Amino acid sequence: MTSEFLRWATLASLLIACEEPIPEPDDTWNKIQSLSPMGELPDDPTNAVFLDPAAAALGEQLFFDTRLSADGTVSCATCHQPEHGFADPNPLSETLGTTDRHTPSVINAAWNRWFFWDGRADSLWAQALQPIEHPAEHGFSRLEVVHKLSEDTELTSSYAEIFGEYPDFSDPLRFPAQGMPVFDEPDNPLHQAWMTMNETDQQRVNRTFVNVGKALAAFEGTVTGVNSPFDRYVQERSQGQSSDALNAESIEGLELFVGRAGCIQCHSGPTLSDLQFHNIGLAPVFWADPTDVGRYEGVTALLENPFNGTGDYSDDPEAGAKKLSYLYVDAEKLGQFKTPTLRNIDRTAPYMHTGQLATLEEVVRFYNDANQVPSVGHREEIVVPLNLTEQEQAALVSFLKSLTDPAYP
Amino acid sequence: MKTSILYFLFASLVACTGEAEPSEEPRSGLTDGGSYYIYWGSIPQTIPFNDLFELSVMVHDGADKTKMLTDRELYVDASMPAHDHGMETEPNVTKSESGMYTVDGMLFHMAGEWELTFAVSDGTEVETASFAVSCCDQ
Repeated sequence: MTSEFLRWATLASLLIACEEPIPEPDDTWNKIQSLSPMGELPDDPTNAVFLDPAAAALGEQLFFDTRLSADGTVSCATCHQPEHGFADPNPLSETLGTTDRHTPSVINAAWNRWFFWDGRADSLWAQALQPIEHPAEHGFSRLEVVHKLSEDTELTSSYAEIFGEYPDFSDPLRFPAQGMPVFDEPDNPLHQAWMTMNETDQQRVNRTFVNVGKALAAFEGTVTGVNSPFDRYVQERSQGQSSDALNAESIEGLELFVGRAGCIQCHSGPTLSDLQFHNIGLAPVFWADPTDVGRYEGVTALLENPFNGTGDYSDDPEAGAKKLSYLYVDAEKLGQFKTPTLRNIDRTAPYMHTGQLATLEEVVRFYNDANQVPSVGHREEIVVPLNLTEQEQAALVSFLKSLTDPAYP
Repeated sequence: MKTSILYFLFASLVACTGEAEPSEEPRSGLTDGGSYYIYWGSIPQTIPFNDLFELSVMVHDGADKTKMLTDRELYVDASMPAHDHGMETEPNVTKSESGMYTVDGMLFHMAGEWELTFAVSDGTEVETASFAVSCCDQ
């Protein structure tokens, strides 16, 4: 009743105000200010230990631990290389096999709404688990993960301080050496091993595996880069001070970015990403799957993932549900991929989900020409030739390079 | 109580009708067939940029704007005509006992001109009303 009354009252206030006009669009400076500062690290209600330093410390250990892979050579850092902006300098990553898409950076990943290029995960912890079990990446299984941790008393001790006593997985009849659910491959030995377990034991393994993901996410939440020359420029100018943080070319690029070039339409907000998905019309390249439909399958994969924010392993299913409730699939999602953040972009070449553009100059030229034809879906109408001069393109690149936090040399 | 509020709302609307400046964005209007008059508001009142918001909607008789219709089906969508795309979310419409509709799951993820469309059905015929909405304060 109270809620209903408030709705009536809200509507009444709107009507009494005689349809107040929505303010005119922001001017250039207001648009610039909308891009900085980054603000506080957003919490993840589905991960109760996201902001726990002890969990971050455990996660950091696990992030660099090559023991969590089939041949003992692959860790998260194999692809998310700190010396390359926590990304991979190659178009696709070589691990046990070759990844399907370019490795995105971990820096500032905590600000994302969706994870992976196709958004098939809704949290950092759910994201972190998938490469571990991908046959071409870590090539591991969740049973191997929990056994591997069992062998290391330092890790299990750290785990216990955060999540409670580390479970006993020592009974080989209850907990096979390897195994994970692979429901679309019922003959897969890993799946068959998993299905020999009772439901309670499966949940125990899942819970421990998920906690590994939550610790990894806590560490990744500490990998931030939010103090760029651009941020200093906005801060100083907003305070009425002069600023030498950006040179004249970068300022020209910034004004193009929020103005005629229209980059801000998708690269909006402090992350310089609308956190959504677009088909920008990239032509296919020989090393990437030309039938990759991106977000079109990502939505379904996310909704079916037992580790999504609404599931049994979420620490706040209600918050998770709010995020997932309104997703849908239609043909417009064919060939859409997530808008990446542009922060620290100078450290994370090459670019796009295929890694097919080697430099920022190539990226700007791609948008300036806007003449490629995608193999899946269609280029969004918003992506049109920009007709920028060579100098203007160079200015945009200069601005993009000003978005790098010096903490990532 | 609700009846009083309804008349209060109506009086407010009458006072506003026809006085809107050309630059203002109306939040009420007739459907294309003239059978319905739509009143809508957003919660919060200023639509947020790239964040979820709700709508409150009332459907009235197009020929008698004092008469609220409570037995119609309402559908809501929004798109950016210049971009030829819609929202990344699929909103959910619920109707209260009073007949007011609540639309949750609205999200304008890009700044610019949006077109908010309401479709009203009596079970056989569908009429629509569209409103231009500028998004958003960032």
